[in-house]
Order: sequence, then structure tokens, then C-alpha cells
Amino acid sequence: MGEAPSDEDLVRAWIGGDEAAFRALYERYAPQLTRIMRRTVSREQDIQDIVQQTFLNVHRARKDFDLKRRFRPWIMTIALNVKREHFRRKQRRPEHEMPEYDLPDQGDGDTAHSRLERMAEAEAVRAALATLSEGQRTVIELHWFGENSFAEVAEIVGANVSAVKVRAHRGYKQLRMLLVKQ
Amino acid sequence: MNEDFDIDRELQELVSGSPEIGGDLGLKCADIDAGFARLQLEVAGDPKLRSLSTTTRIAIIGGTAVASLLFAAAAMGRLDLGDLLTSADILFTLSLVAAGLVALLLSVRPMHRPPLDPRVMLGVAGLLAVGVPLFHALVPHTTGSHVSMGGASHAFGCLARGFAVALPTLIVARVLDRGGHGGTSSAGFAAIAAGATGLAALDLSCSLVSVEHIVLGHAPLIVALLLAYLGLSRLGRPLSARRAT
Repeated sequence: MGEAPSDEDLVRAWIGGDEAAFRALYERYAPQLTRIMRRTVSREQDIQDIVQQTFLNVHRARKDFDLKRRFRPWIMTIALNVKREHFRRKQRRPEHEMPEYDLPDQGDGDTAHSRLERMAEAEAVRAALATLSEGQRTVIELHWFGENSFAEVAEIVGANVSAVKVRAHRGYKQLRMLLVKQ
Repeated sequence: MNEDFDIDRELQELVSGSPEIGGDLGLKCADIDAGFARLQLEVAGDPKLRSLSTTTRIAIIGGTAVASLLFAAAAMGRLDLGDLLTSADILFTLSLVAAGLVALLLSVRPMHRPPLDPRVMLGVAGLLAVGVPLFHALVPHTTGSHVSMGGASHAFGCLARGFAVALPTLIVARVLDRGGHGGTSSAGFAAIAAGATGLAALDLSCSLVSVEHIVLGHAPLIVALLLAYLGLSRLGRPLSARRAT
């Protein structure tokens, strides 16, 4: 069985006219972006809009993509900028609100009670994240929820790795304090 | 003691202690199908010009500005590049070209680049829209062929000519706009770039160099274009959208 094509292979194929490669990138990144957004944005409609707008921007900017670079930091930067722009237009920050969405099923053992628990946990994380500065929150979103390395996070936010680590350190410390209290 | 090492060690402890809270919050298969179908519809309806590379978009907008400028100068019978290049006034024109170029680069800044600090953007916009034109108005011109007369009486005519020269650049910039970092700042910098083109055209074509004429008829061009464009864009949006922002 062959290995799955890399993101960069898919982008190369897509730019070459293979629309199936765009679909493959969507299947790979839409769930990840949705997961990251759900950690900080509570309105389901906002989350869907941000993810769709991210891919629309990716489509518009595909000819700007440097094939020598990695796709992941590139799309993550676009997603964060789209989110920032989305809330700037609404003149509010991604704040703590009552959740509206249904969490996806986790499997056979996923009862209504455990889903409610997960919703409460997710809401607690969102509330704690809302107390961080934007810089700290962004770094933590990308590192913890987006599973990016600190080097990737640094590339996405346009800062050096040491500065990103300092922000992450302070942010994680504050988050841990807040979540343990609860 | 190595500070980085301390942070690395502490971070590792903090991160390893962070639980996977809330489970997988990703999409279900059905959501992916529906989402991709919606995306395909949006992509199909998206103007193809917006998908040109940023370099190509800069070349098209810059080319439109240069063509408008040369056309306007030639039409007004003042296209004497030899005279311009050897005169001390070249500094004025170069300052406008530089202002236009900076504004153009900021207006097309792509979404895959980190955003710039809004305060820096505001400062740069102020410098380009007000600072450069004021410098242009208040520092005396040296070209001998210019005459110091006319004052305020021809100011409106110059403003109108500047608008007319700026318009093609502004239209092309907006057609190619991807709606990147901050719709308003992107539109604002496009208006500044177009305004700088109009101002440069006035610089090449207008023979009146009295301070009051330049202050009233040239210097306000960029700000006037900026306010008119942003105002019209706002009026052109549905009322519900205006309320939302």
C-alpha cells in the first residue's frame, strides 16, 4: 500500500489542475480547522463561515503558494487571519458565549450525559482561553489544538521561536491555573 | 542558567499535563460533503481575477497607474520627462511614486502573511494620505516653467482632474481585491495608491505653483478620494450589513 501524498504534493497537483487534490486537502484540513475554531468560537455558524472563508482564501491565493515551503503553516496563517477578520467585522473578539452546537458522536459508548460533559469541558476551556491575551491565545490554539510545533507556530504568527515559547509558557501556566480551579 | 532550557523544560511539563478536553470536535463525513459542495459553489461564483498571483495583481495595478499617469500628462500637453528628470522637482514625483507603491503593497498584502499592527497601519496611512501631500504643498517647487498665480480659483478643477486620473487605478485595484487583511484598510490603501497617481499627474500637468492652490487643489486629493470611496462603499452595502458592523 502506497503512502498518502503529502500536503505539498496535493497542492502541486491542485495547481496543475487536479480538482480532486483540492477535495483531498479539504478533507484533511476542514476537520482540523473546525476543531481548532470550536475551542475558541462557540457559535456554530461562525465556525462554519470561518472554515469556508479560509478555503475560499486558500483557493484565491493558491498561485501565491511557494512550493518549496510547507502547506500547513500557510493554511493555518490564513485561518487565523480569517478568524481575526471575521470578529473584527463583527467588532468583537472571540469571546465566551453560550454554545449552540452539537458535538459529534465519539463512538458507541457516547451517551447524552458524556456529550453534555464534553460540552461543559469545551465551554470551560473556551472561557479560560478568553481570559488570555490574544498573543497567548493564538499560540496555544495553534500548538495545543492545532498540534503545530513551536517552529511552525512561530512561522504562522510571524514571531521568533523564543518569543512564541515565552507566550506559550505564560499562557499554559495561566490556563492550567484556571482549569485546575474549576 | 539557560533561560530557553528552563522554558523548554517547564513547557513540556505544562503541555504534558494538559488533558484532551472535550474530545474530538472535528467534522463528521456528512459535514465534509456538504461543506465542500458549498465551497465549490462559492469558488464557481468567485471572480477569476482575484485568483491571480499577488505579483501579477501588483503588476496590473501598477501598470494601470503608470499608464493613467502618462496618458494624463500627455493629454494635458505636459509630458516632458527629460525636463522632469533633470529638475529638482523629481523629488516630489519620486515621493509620490514611493507613497503609491507602499500603499499598493499594503492594499494587496495576502492573507497568508501575518497581519501588521493596526496602529502602524494607521500611522502609515496618515503619513501617505496627509504627510506626503502636505510636504508636497508646503515645500516650494523649483521648476522655472511653473508660474505662481491662480491661487484658489482653479483648485476645484485640479481636484476633479486628479480624481479622473486616479479612478482607473482604483477601479482595477478593487476588481483584483481579494478582501484580505481588513476590508477597510485594503480598500483605504488602494484609494491612497490611486490618489498618489492622481497627485503625480497634477504634479506633471499643473502649471500653478502657489501654495494656496496646491494646498486647496492638490494636497486634499488623496484624503478626498479616500473619504469619498469609503463613504460610497459604505452606502453601497445593504443596511443590514452596515448594522452588523
